[in-house]
Amino acid sequence: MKILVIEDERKLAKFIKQGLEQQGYIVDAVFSGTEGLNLLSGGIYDVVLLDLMLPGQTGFEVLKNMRSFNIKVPVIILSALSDPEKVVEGLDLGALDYIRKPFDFAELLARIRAVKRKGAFDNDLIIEVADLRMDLIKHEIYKAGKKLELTNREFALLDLFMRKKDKLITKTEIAEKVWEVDFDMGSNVIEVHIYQLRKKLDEIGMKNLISTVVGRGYKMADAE
Amino acid sequence: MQSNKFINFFRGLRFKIMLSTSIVLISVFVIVGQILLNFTENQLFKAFDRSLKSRAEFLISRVDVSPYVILPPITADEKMLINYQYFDTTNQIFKSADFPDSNSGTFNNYRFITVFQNDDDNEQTQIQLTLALPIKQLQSDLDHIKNIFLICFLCSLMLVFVAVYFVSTWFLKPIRNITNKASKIVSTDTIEELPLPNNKDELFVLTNTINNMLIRIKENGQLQKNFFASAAHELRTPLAVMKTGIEVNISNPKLSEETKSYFEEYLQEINRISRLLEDFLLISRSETGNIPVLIQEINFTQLIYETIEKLKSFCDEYEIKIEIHLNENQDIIVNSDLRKLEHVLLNLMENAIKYAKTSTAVKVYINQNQNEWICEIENITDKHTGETQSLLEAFYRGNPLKEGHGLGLWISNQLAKIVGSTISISWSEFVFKATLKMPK
Repeated sequence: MKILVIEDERKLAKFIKQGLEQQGYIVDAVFSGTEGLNLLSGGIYDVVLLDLMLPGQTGFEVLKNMRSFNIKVPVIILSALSDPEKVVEGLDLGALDYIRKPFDFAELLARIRAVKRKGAFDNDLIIEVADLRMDLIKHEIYKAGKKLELTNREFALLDLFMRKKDKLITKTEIAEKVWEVDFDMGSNVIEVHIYQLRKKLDEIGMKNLISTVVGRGYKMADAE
Repeated sequence: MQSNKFINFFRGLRFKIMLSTSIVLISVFVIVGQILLNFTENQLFKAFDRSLKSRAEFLISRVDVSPYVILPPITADEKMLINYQYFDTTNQIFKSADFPDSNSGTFNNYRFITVFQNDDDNEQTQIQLTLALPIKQLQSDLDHIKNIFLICFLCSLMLVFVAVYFVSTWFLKPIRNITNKASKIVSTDTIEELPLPNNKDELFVLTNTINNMLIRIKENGQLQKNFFASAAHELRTPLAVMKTGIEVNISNPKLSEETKSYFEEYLQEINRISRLLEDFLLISRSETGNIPVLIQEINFTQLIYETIEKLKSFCDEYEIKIEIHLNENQDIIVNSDLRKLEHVLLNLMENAIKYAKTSTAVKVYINQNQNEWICEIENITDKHTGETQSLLEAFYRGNPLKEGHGLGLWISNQLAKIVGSTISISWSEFVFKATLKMPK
């Protein structure tokens, strides 16, 4: 799950990113509304955490522009403005939630999970492929009831493959959805992670679940 | 209550106006009355004397001494003395039997007049006639006039009191209007200007001056609230940085237990500052009525237990136990705003724990009457808390050595009012009691 944090207070953005990454989320943090809107136009994020008092475009303007560009990513506003009018305005502009600063980090995580549960995403919260069962709320994966230990990046990779079962996934798409915006496409990081993931799947008897389509990308097929 | 009104009347401006006006008018009446009485008395005596003189002249004209003494007849009341002076010799030729003289006790009851008649032939001879007439009738007339004066004076006195009472009431009516309007303003949470009187008199100037003062108070209050709101907003972001930074890093396994415990303490302090900021914002919003209220059914029993759970570590810190005395078997359901009621309850409990004597128990009693649920929170104190009602005022702090910023009870009181509940506090025999009454 990929989250975009739009927060001009760099230290706060850094801590939010760090905390969310500890919880297994893939996080990009930008410091202005314009930058955030640029990234959102790529359509690769699952949740946006948006500050309101931003340089350039304010949070409200970002929300309005998201609407006009038909970007339907769920937004949670994080703001120091606590007036009820601001909350109402934010929610009316399409934000799903409004959290006042300073907030409890556990509460932020719970709100993100609540956004998931509200069915704000197009995808199911439980994804099943062959014997694999992925619980997106608990952030856990099981094979026939047995828990599989994966790193956050491996989990995100497997999540992407299971969602796009039987479909070709290019390396660019993987980079966009599983790695941060500043990912170096020239490196072999993706190959290394896919190798590690395949190895773990092999260990539980799920060989050849992810196959390589030479010169084009990767594909998951549940047929053994 | 009645005696207070009575005392207030005597302390009031109306009584002072009545008293001063009455004293002035009565003094004028007394002086003028006295002058008039003296004048009347003089006039009466003069008229009496004139008539006496006429009578004496008439009588002397009838006196003859040569060759025989012939005396004129006089009435029973008249007393007459006739002397005949011949050269240096004076002979008394007639004196009424009970003619009053200076030695007799009746002397003052008579008016005297002496007339003279010279002999036409001999200038050395002269008849002197002294006529005395009792002033009994004159005295009675004078007493009558005095009585009339006294009655008039007393009537005037009463009239003056009544007139001055009504005049002062009429005179003070605009001031009373201003006071009533100002009282209405005092009883509400907002500062409104007083309506200006129609006549541009001194009261217009007074009202205008009060209005200018009210505008300044309003502006200062607004500035203060704006400052609270701005300060609260400005502090939110740095607090969020600190709070999130600590919360995210506290679970780092590389941290030593000692560092973690420091972080936990910092986090507690940050949470305290956050609550203080919320209080500041509540202050800035409470008087503009800008607090949204969401009334719903709340399980108060559950809320009590949840609040106690939240305060567990706080109780341990102050070595306080909490005892709950529930006199109801069923769950207590109140209609209120959950977040506000929670804030009120948390604050009252926290306050009771904070100011309780170490190693004692805070007791929570829940009862009901016909219309209300009554929650009483009692704690034993070390010393007198001072004027208990002042504790519900902003920035008042019972014991300055204990932590707290003096806003808690005031904020709770404001919030309770918003959700239709009331808070009262009392102190008796070293037991401090906060009573929260909630409508059913």
